[in-house]
This record gives sequence, C-alpha cells and structure tokens, in this order.
Amino acid sequence: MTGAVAHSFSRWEWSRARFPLFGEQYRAEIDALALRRGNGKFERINRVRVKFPPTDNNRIGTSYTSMCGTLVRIEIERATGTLRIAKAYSVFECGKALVPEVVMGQAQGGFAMGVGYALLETLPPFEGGPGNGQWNLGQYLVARGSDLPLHDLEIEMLPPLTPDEPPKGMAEVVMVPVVPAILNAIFDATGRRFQSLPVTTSLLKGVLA
Amino acid sequence: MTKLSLTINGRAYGPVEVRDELSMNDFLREYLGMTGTKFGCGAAQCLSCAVIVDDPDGTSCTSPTCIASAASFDGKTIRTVEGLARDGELSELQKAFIRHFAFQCGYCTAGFLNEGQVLLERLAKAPVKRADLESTIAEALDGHICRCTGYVKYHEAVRDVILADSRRYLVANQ
Repeated sequence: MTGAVAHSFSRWEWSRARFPLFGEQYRAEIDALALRRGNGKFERINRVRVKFPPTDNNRIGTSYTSMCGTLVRIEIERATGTLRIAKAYSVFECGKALVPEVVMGQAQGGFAMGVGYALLETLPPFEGGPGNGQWNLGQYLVARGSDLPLHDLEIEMLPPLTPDEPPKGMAEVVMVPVVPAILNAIFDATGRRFQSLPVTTSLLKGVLA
Repeated sequence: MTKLSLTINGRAYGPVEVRDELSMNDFLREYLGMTGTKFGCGAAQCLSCAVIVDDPDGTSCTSPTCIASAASFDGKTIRTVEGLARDGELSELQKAFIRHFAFQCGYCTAGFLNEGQVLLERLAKAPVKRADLESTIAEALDGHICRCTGYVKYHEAVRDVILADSRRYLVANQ
C-alpha cells in the first residue's frame, strides 16, 4: 500500500462510514476512501453504511452552546470612585476540555478582558478617537494585573453534560458574564444603573458625590 | 552615527556603527537576529520588549527596547530571553512558566520572564516576608500586559519558584 486519500464532512460532528478492507469492515469518521498499491492508480473503496450528521446540528445556537456565569464582589472608595474587585467566581461548561490547562488560561484571560470591557476600554468614534491613528496602550487602557483579583479569582470548569459530549468553543463566553456581574455589583453598591461602557472611576465618583 | 559596544548574555558585541535613531529593539532583532525580544506597542506601555540591564553596582532592572535607541545601550551589560537558559537547560522560571501553562500566544512571555528573573535576583539579596509575597509579585509584574491568560498563571508560576526555595527568597521565621 503506497497511498491513501480520504474525505470527510463536518457539521459539528464528522460523517462516518464503513469500508470493506482486507476481508474486514473498516470503520472511520470519513465518507470516502481511495487506496493506491505500488505505482498503480488510486482505486475507490466503495463505502457501506455512510452516516452524515443531521442538518439539525446547524442550529448550533441551541445544540452547541457553552454556558458561563460570574459572581463578583466589589469595593468602591467613596471619595475617589476607585473600584476594586475583591473577589470573583466564574463557572462554565464546555463539554470535554481537550487541554484543561489552556481552557483555564482562556477563562482567566476572559475574566481580565471582561474587566477591561466593563471598566477601562473606551473607543470613542469620530475626531479624537482611535481612528486618528495616534492611540496606543497609554490611552486605550486594558486590564493589568493590578485591576484583577489575581489571588481571589476562582474559576470552576464543570464536567461535560454527558460522558460523550464533544469539546465546545469557550474562548469568548468566559468574558461575557463578567460585564453584567460588575454592572450589577455597581448597581448594588451605588443604586445607579449605568447604560454605557466603560464605567470609569470618574463616572463612579460622579454618582457617589 | 554612533560607535556601539555592549555585552549581551555574557558576550561582547561591537564596536559597530549604528544610526543614532536605530532603536535597541531593531538592533537586537534585525542586526543580531535575536528575535526572542518582541516588539509590542512601541510606546513602552506593554513591556513585551523588555530586556534585563545589569548595572555595575550589582543591581539589575528591566528596560524597554522599543523607545530606547541602540546608542543609549553603549557600554552596558544586558541579558535577553535567549540568555536565560544555561547549557541548554531552561531556568527555573522558564520551567515554571511551562509547567503552569502561563502563556498561550507567547508574545508577552520574554518580558514576563525578564521581569520575573530580576525579581528573583532581587529577593535573593533582599528577601521579603511571606505575607508580602503576593503584593511584591503583583507590583513587580504590573507593568507588563498579557491578553491571553489574564496574568493569574504568570503570578502563580513566579510564586511557585519562590515558595519552592523559600529559604533563599523569603525572610525566615515570621
């Protein structure tokens, strides 16, 4: 045997088929297979029992979602409006984690990005905004270590919903609930609902004055 | 043009003529091919480009290379990320970063390694109390921006190296 060419199709799971090979049924997550012997031409192996993933899988919004929730405890200094996240907890489910350490790193990074989105990062349109090409990280503020509860950030990765649940995307969902959690905590602390982001120190000072 | 001589990772370079406006970052990456030092924001805000500067008085600090001219490093002794491993063996901090999965894209890693290394060497000379360790690490690393893993694993890795050799880095018996 000198060569093999396979074809498969994915719709959040792979197509599957069986191929009669060497007197046995070869099963694989492919739907077409061709083999070459020596210098000969590739010859198609006729498949049996092909199975394609259901079109229903295209509704990934309902069948393939990772869920995440966040709780935060904040402290706001009355005189200055300085906000400190004292403690935080995020919990999520993403199916089978292929590399759990990387998944946790993404979740911690997502928390940092959520903090930046809620409290720091501003991109105003028009003149004077970043579109003028002059902005850098001195003006576009992103979360640094000191903006985060580095030693009081607990993140829990739940086991897969079912033993055979496939891996699901989770890189972005881990930042999403951080923002409403912080905004709700600010409402709880100040009685004020903020309708636009970021909620900066000076805005907080303004509602506490 | 300026005549530049300096020591990088224990090896003497120069004298070599460089344009006055040539940045240290370009000198390292483009002239010497030492691409371990990254170019990030170009405004000394993210410190992905930081290298270690060893002063004659025995102290060390990090310095950004993006806004500093190569000429300003004349006569200096520096270390880059390429110099942290010894005889092919990674430093304790490098091993800890890998063990902790501290980095993902890796762009900020050289800067964090150099800053962490400077911190370790400083603590070896002037240990801190265990109770002050977390804030000491946080203060030391705070200039560096990371957008993948949110700092937690970097801090844990640095703390692990210190706690694994606490007699060296921490004040005894508090």
